[in-house]
Amino acid sequence: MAPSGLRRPNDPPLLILVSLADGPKHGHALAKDIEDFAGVRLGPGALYGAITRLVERGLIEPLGSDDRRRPYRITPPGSAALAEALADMRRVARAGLTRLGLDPA
Amino acid sequence: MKAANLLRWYPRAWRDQYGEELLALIQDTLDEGGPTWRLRFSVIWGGLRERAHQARNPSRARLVLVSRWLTFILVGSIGVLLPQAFGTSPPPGRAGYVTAALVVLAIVVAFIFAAVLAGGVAAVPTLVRFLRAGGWPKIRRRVAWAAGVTVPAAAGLTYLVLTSSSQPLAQHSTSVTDLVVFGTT
Repeated sequence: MAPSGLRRPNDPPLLILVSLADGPKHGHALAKDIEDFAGVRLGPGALYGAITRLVERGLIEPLGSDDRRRPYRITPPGSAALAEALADMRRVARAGLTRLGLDPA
Repeated sequence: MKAANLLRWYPRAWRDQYGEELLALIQDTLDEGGPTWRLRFSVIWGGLRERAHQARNPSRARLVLVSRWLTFILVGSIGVLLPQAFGTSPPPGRAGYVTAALVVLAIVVAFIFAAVLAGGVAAVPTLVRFLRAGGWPKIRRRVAWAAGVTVPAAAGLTYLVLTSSSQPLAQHSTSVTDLVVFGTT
């Protein structure tokens, strides 16, 4: 398991980091984006549970806002953790696809 | 469905930090339609998991605060009880030990006070960022509560200062220790 705690492709923390990789988003925008690119519908409880853990680990951080919908952005350690997790997944995916004869590489 | 009631499944500290955001998300989700039972289950399950997480992982800051508080109580209790064990004046030949013990206690209290003060100073930048990010409404009640506690504490401290000068030597030493512990706390 990666030091960041990311492992499964449908892991809420991983999905949140991927969603924030292209810019800050608040809770509702995160949920919509994740549903769009991953097909995973995170409920409010699961979403904010993951947000809480990511903030605690310093992988994302809240931005100041006058609105109730506070946006979050990925931090440099969060970007590094995401890159590491995705590289691990790519290695595993490539090995699996190659063994299945589905990957030309 | 009253969304605010669902938040009660979460620990208060968590609600203070994320409650408004979660309410906004719940409202947005409700506006989109869909089954409310699923939303309700998600929030309740999330609250229970958060309570379980906090029970398993007490924050380091909370542990430090509790340990320092217990140290204050312990040192203060020893400071109060030690001179009383010898009566209003120490037995012949023991006065030096009592004085030395009180000095050691005062040094320990001063050391802990310095540690608490250093922790407070180190927390100032985080507090400033929190306030600038609009955090004041979230801590306003606690600040008011702390201020309400401080007033009687300050009154008690003033009372000790005014009465300590008229007491015998041993009791005077006790009051000084009380003052240090009380004031530091």
